[in-house]
Amino acid sequence: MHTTDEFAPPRRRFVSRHALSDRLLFLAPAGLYLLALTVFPFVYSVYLSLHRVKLTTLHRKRFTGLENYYDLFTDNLFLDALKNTAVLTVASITIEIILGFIAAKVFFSLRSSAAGSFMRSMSIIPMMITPICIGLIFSYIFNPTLGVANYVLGQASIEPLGWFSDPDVALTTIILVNSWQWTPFMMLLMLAGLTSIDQEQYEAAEVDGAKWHHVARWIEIPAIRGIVIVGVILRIIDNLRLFDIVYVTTRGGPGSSTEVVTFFAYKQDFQYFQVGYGSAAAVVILVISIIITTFAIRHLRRVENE
Amino acid sequence: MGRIVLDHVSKHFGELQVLKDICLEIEDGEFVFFVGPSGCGKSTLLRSITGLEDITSGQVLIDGEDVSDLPPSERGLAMVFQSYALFPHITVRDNIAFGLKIAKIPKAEIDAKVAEAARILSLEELLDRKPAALSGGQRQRVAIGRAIVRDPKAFLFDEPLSNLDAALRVQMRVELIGLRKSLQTTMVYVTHDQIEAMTMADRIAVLNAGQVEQYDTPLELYDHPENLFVATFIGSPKMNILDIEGHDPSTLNLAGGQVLDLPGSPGFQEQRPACLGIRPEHMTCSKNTGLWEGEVVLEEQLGSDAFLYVDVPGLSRFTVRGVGQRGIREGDKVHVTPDTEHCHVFDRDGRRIETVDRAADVDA
Amino acid sequence: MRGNDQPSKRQLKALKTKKKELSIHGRRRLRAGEVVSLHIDTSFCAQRRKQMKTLNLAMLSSVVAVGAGAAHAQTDWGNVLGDFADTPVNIMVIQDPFIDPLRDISSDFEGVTGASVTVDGFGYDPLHEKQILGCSQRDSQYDVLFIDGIWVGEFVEAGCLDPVEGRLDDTDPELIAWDDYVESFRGQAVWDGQRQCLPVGAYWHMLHYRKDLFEAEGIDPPETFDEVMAAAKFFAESDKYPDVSGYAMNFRRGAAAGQQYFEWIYSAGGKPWESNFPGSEDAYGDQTPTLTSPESVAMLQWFEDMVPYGPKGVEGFAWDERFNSFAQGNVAMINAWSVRTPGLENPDISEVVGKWDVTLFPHAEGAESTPPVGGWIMCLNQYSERKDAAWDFMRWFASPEVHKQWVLKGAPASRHSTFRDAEVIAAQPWLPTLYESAKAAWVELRPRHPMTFEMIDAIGLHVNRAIIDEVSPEEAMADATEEVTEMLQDAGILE
Repeated sequence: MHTTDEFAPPRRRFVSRHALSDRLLFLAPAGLYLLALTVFPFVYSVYLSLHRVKLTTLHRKRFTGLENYYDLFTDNLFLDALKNTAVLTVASITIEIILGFIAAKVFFSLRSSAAGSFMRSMSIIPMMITPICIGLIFSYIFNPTLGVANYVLGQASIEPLGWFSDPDVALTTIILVNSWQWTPFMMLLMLAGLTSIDQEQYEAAEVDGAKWHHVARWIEIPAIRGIVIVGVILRIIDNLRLFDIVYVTTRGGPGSSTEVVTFFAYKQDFQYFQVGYGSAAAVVILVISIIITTFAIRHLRRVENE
Repeated sequence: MGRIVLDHVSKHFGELQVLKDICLEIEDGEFVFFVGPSGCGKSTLLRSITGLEDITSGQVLIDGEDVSDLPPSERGLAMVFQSYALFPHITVRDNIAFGLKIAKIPKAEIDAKVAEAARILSLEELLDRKPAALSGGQRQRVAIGRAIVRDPKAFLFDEPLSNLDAALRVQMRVELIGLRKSLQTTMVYVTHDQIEAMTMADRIAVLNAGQVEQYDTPLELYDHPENLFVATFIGSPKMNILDIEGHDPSTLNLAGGQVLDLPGSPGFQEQRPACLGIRPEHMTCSKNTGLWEGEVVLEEQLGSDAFLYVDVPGLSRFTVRGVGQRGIREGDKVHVTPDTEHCHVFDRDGRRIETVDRAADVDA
Repeated sequence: MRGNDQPSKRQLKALKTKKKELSIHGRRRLRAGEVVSLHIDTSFCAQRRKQMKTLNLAMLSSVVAVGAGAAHAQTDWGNVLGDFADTPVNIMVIQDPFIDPLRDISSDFEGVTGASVTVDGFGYDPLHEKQILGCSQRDSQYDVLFIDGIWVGEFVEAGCLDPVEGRLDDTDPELIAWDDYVESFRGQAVWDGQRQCLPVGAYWHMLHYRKDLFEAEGIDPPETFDEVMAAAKFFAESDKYPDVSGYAMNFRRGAAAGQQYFEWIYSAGGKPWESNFPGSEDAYGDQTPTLTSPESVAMLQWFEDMVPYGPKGVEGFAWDERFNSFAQGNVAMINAWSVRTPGLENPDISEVVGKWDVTLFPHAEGAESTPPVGGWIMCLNQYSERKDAAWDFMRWFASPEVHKQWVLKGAPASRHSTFRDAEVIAAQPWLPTLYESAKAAWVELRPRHPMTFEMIDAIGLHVNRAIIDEVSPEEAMADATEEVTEMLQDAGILE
């Protein structure tokens, strides 16, 4: 620790032996927790996915390499599941954005009235109900013979629909139920964005003679774009995990019209107990999620920096 | 082309009356300022002219036409906002062209107008930037550019320079004056900054609590304020105000037994004098001779001027302006003398009382 | 004769006889020396005459209760069962209508042994899931597991069960009465050559139909597929009954449609795989699928043709919808598991009380009626830590006398003796038809090997696709065959 330059600051011992072990000690509990509950199950899942194995006969597992993955991508049911999940995600988010924007504008114009605040609080309730309950409620509403929905259609002289039993309609019904639950979420995000817009911009637009669609296009949508992208990312992740509603109402049917990837994995893992195949499905879902969210976050960062 | 008339304009917010029977006429090409303290209604009045606020009664006439029920975009006006109100996500060019695009004007015409406005305001190099990449002054110019391209009958400015720092404000003031000269369009300007008003206005309307206190040229407001409010509002530092306790035909009795001779005051017959006003620059200060004696409690040394706050016991605290004054310091004993030719007398209601001097001024 | 403790409420009529030892089934425990009156119902005893006499039974070491038909031994359970004071016995069972009678009757076991019995009910899939997961974790929480007869292969392979075979010899064979179990169900409790569980919860299908409507229209209860379709068509298209459709079946994708296939295939004259047909000696000998047989394809076509005569949304119907549509009076016929039949007489859930009747499962022209059989077998958890108490519960519960009491409370009859019991018949008037169905059923109705879920689901997927007209029945069955073959080969069941 000697230096010939008397003006240089004394070199410090940057890391003492004690300090390092202290740090590790403090990190250890969290690290162990993470390791045990996140890292290990993930690694084990990947390990299982390389085998053909049933939970009931773990000792008889057979190493099959990537065969499970190959089977997945030639399994029509899994491909249908991917397609259904994609359709569900895109359609739900689109509906939620459009309806959410309209609702946000409505609540924005009512923001100073007590009735407006009350209605806004009411409109958030769907988000707070457990998905299982929502599934049950809607399976009653959409019951083909006893449900309210078909009763109302009948009163309007419209042919009753097989909401959950018609393969052409079932996925749409699930999309509607899902959107009903989560539109308030997008609405809240957009409302927050709208309240951050400077009032003077509206006035400038008014002086220039802008109509509502000009205002929407040039002022409101650019202002809420960043927030909406965040919301979209979150909703994509949520929709990739959608399970409860499908489980309670259609269980993937009729046909395979409402089979979603999560339900596919669940059936493999907990009905057939083919944990090798089910793990492979789960790994595929995870990889897809990571890819999507990476792209989305990168895009968000780019938009933020503009 | 851009003549604006406010005819008995009143506005109520529920129980509160914010504009009280305002009557103003703004000639075509005039540069008129609305000034007043916070909450006096000047912004509200401006926005009522624009159409962003409704009026409860009265009329707003532009070029003789009653526009009181027309929406802002149909009144042929352009407004420049305090925080510029630029759209942050589109380029400067698109910001300026916004109103034209909405009006579906052909593209070639839009481009020409935008180019012209950019030339006038020196914005040519900035046209493709977004507002976030501009400085405050540049943004203000873009906001003005947006107003220019609409070829309005009148420009309305709502405290446009308040968000700029002092040096920039001075620079923008000069530019605005230049702009005004080249465009020759009516301009109505709201500000709380007197210096802007005094330097740029053709006429100033001083507002207080929803009423027009006085509507006159800057010098008239300065030299001949018609009421106490205008007298104390215009001019910085404020006019010195003394209570008048009694009067004789040509003298005023002030507090502390002081007496002031005021030659020729015929107005004293109809109105009872209550206050005497003297501007700081109309008081002289000397170490040796003077009417009233007092002590300097504060010296504000600006280099070009010095403002001395002199306490004359029993009378008042005076603000005295000394040009190039260097010698007098805090704590010094001095004598102050008012220039009786430039005194202002107000009655109990704050209204000006004419003195003979006024008549003399007019002839001169 | 064996001694008992409590007085019987029953009236007893005495035989005109000297001291005679009578083995009579007792509802309650009787005290030695009780003075009771004996009644013997001679409707089943042709040679005896009814007589009333009061016997001084002081000399009899036990008293007899009602003799109504088959006389069961009055068991001295106190001597048979152990003392398990404060021992819990936890039972995991399906949430089917027999669960309340199960809870009810368990209190009697608590009275004898001091054990505390807890009965937890779950839905079908959750039950399966929870049991397998518990088994894979060697969970000892539950002692007695009720499993579906078709799960037995999977559970044995996973080592979840302690086979009852090893314990049967410790108990009086009259208490076990294995031969008293109806054949067409008891085979489902056997796997790998061993008796694994006790077959106590047997269900069979019957054709339930609206007796009132059929009588009003002069239609006989249908027997063949053609007759069924004709009747269904009539009611579906009739303007006289606008709210009543013809026939509701389990068409929902997956387990429902898959089970529907197996329910009907034999009566359609077909078989699901080569060696599985009614009466086969070795049903699992050759498991090559025969799903593409003409009978199979014809049956699928018949399903598809029946869709228009069903209620709205029948393509998505499963057990609940099927039953409820009949109970609400919206459909003229269903085939349903006998466990639900008592519900039709419950005014809280049924709109058709007194308006319905049952008949044998229909069959195709030229084939025989082979009613579906299924149900719940009671097994001992391999990882239970209270096996003695659990086994005592099981053998007590499954014994003929307790079984009858359970059935009288509304549970499914699984024993010959119970089916023939006049008291039970009086309580469940459809019992004779059910007994006929039970005797005509084929035990290996559905696969019981470890791949059963996946196989039934796979077949169910393709059955549903054919029904909703996504593909033709031939194509559907060809796809199903391909999938099932691959799956069985993978699992080592097929070469």
